[in-house]
Amino acid sequence: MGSAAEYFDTQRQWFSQTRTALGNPPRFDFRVAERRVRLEFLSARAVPLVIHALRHLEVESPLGGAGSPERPDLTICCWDDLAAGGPPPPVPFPTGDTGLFHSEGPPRIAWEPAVGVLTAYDPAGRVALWRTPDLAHLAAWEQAGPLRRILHWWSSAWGGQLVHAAAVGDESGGVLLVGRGGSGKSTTALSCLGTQVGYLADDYCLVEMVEGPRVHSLYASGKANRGSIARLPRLRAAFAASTLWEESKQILFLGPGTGWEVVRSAPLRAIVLPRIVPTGPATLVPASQGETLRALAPSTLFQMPGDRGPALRRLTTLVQQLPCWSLRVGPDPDETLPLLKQLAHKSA
Amino acid sequence: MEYRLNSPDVVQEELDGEVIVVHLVSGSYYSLSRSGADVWKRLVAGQNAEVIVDRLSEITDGTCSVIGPAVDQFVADLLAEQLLVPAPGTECRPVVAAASPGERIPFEAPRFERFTDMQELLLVDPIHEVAEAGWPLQPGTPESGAVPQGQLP
Repeated sequence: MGSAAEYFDTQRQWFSQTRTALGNPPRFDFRVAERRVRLEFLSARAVPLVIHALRHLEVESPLGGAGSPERPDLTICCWDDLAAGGPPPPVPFPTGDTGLFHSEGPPRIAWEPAVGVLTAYDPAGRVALWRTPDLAHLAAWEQAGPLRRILHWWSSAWGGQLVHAAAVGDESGGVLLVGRGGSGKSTTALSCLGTQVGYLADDYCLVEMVEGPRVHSLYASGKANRGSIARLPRLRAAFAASTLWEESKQILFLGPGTGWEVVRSAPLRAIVLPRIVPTGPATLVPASQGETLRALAPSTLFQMPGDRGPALRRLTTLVQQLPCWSLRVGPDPDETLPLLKQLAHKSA
Repeated sequence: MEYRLNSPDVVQEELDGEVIVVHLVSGSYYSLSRSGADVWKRLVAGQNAEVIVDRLSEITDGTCSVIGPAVDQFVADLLAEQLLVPAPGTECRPVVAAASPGERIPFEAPRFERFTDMQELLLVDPIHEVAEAGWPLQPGTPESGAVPQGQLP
């Protein structure tokens, strides 16, 4: 093996040959930001765990037909050590028990020794690799938001930006909710489910600049701890029926078949910094751009390796283009709904 | 002495007069405004401390004996935070500074605000940027413990 590129190609070729030899293993196509992403698997085993949170973006018919290119905008090869017969070939990264080792590439390669996950992306070939020890034991956080790193790398290549933020609204206008974990993003976003405000995301979503800022839903899932669930009476029964936990948070799948609609995309009208407060009514006050960028950028950058200088630039541009607000969220998150609706439908 | 941004470990952007600096390795991030933002922009543009002190003594009511130590301390703090690194001989680039008010403004010691609330994220799950220098990989690399490529099915 002579280089990272050869390593990538070897893995890619092995996957393709194996997939061909297996006949017609499953694949799953979804569309985000007007682009088609294809997940290819080696077996049907555990596929639902990977695609559950992406079902709301699924596109039924494969590409093809006269004049239509067959090739998706991104193909992600997904497999596990069980299918490969062992762990991935070694990568020449320093050893370590924690964290993630990332090589900028191209191709980009990330290796997480503690969990044995290999992630790689070749922008020229529009192909990504995602190899995990056992798909049947996918971590709860990965089920709720699969393939984040790959989607971050891929979207960066065309000017998109994966952000650690929630989003609410509908096709006519949306609001980005930003802040560190525990600030109230999820509670505020989940309170919009089943209301006239609309829900896109509670933790991660994709933004891009197309005739103004636009947000795209990535995952039809929501997470809440006991305190948040107590503030969300509409969702209490749904959370009670869920058996998937990520540490102290319970995960709820939304979208098709659940009765909870997830909006796929919205033009952004504002950025809001929610803050849970124990008492008092919901109130909106203007926030500074600096305060907003500090609430949005670090938590996004620290979680996503690669392209972090350009990512900060994109986030700065986003903040500069939208009005920014602080939102006090009192004991009843429903009080925020008229405020959020007003912001979402206000012309930018 | 000239300095430069400690890139790629550190990234920065300015908006609405505030400079946001993020140290991607330590997990700290910083806010610089007013005098702190102005001196920071001059430093990352390659101006040395002496030039900055001279300039501030022209546009503020501070004297060199006050401005000098304040700028030196600011630079020392930025170096201690590993936001800047020494870069002797760096060519100075133009600095986009606020328009001169026409009369001297009150001198304010440059400073930054540091935020550490996200460090926990990186402590739990640090990101190690590695170069491709390790390639080509020699078969049987002892540190990996994984099977060589040829043994894959």
